[in-house]
Amino acid sequence: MSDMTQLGTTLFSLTPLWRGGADAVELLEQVAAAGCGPAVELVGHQAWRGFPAVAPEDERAFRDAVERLQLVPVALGVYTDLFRRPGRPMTVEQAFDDIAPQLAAAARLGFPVVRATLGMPPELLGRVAAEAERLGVVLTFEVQGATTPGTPAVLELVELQRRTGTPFLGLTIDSSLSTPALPAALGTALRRLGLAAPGVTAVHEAWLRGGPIGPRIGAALAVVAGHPREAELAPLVAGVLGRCGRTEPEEWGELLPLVRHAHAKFWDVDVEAVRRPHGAWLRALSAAGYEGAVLSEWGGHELLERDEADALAVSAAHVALLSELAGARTAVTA
Amino acid sequence: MTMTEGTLRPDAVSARDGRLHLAVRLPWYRSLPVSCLEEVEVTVDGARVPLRSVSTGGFTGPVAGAGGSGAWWDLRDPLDVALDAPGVPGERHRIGLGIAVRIPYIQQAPGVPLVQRATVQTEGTVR
Repeated sequence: MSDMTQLGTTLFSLTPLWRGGADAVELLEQVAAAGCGPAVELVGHQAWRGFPAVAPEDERAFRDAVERLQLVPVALGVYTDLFRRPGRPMTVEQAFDDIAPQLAAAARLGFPVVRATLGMPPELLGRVAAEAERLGVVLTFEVQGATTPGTPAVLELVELQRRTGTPFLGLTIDSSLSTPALPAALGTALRRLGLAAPGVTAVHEAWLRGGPIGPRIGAALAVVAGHPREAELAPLVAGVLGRCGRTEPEEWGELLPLVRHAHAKFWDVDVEAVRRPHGAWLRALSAAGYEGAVLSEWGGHELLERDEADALAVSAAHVALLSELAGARTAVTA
Repeated sequence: MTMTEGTLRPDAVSARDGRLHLAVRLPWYRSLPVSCLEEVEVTVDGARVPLRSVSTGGFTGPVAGAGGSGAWWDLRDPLDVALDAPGVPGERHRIGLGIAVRIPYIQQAPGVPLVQRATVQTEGTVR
């Protein structure tokens, strides 16, 4: 990796602690103490009450904490809550009014990059990108899981960036694009919801099939159809399978110059499960000249209960793995 | 902690003015607009009980009224569910909760937002 590349953690990984009532400063202290920094990403609607209207004292406390702890705020998660009202999506005007203050909050809090969900309607995308540029914040959209380089939302984004040439628009690339196997934690979650062993196997077989993700998720949903807890099983199955992609870093080569932020995503407590794909992504980003941060993102809290995994401990183990992989890369290229 | 875990904490059941209240935690990783609350169903000792109102973030009203609210359900705050059921501190009850929240930024199909559901069964002593 380039000497410029920083490793760190998205505090989304600590969701169990946020849900337990912890505040931003407290969690930043824990992240620093566990060696999970220096780079940090936060989710606005997770970290601050009233976001994007962050209270001045909370803003000061955040800035003081990152300085004191020598952490580096690298990205803020922002959202367009298009379906805030039942039955109808927001208009472009309403959606712009929803997200613009979040970009301003990112600038005030010292985040150079925001990360948004891929798939913003094109007219809105143009307006939000212009607002990001005005504020001097880089607007990125997360490319993850089963997304492919040919996904229409990716093509629209790339087209807009190339047409405008703006350096304030880019991608957050997530290593879940290259997932070698469904996480073991998914099996744990499915069994907890009462899916019997043959059903768990059938879900895995559906994911292992060839072809596009849609029919593979459809096959997995057919496995849980009619189960007494289908209402909980179905979103879990669709959500996890959709976030476990099978493209390789090389397939994204042409788009890597647009990467402005990166996640190394993992689910299982045993971080060795991601050694190969995360090493491959670190090498690919390095080869593309990427100088941004690579952040550990643990999604296992969605699948495992609190006594099955400690969010901070698994994050620390994963950041150590990333350091080793990045260090090995530096040694090889030095 | 799965999204469901922690939705009802051990101290979730309380009594006020002789009636039961439930403190329900958001089954999601970030705060959501109150307008994303779609369903709340509660059973006490196996029997479905009507809700008097739900309250959080300055909103108080029926679940059906949440859709028009501009308030937020903060991740750190409980949703206070007022039940039309008698309750006395010290009693023990089996509580069943079914809750559905719309995730306003995830579409499970074009134009169809994801609805996150959690069902929890617990037994608690009324505070």
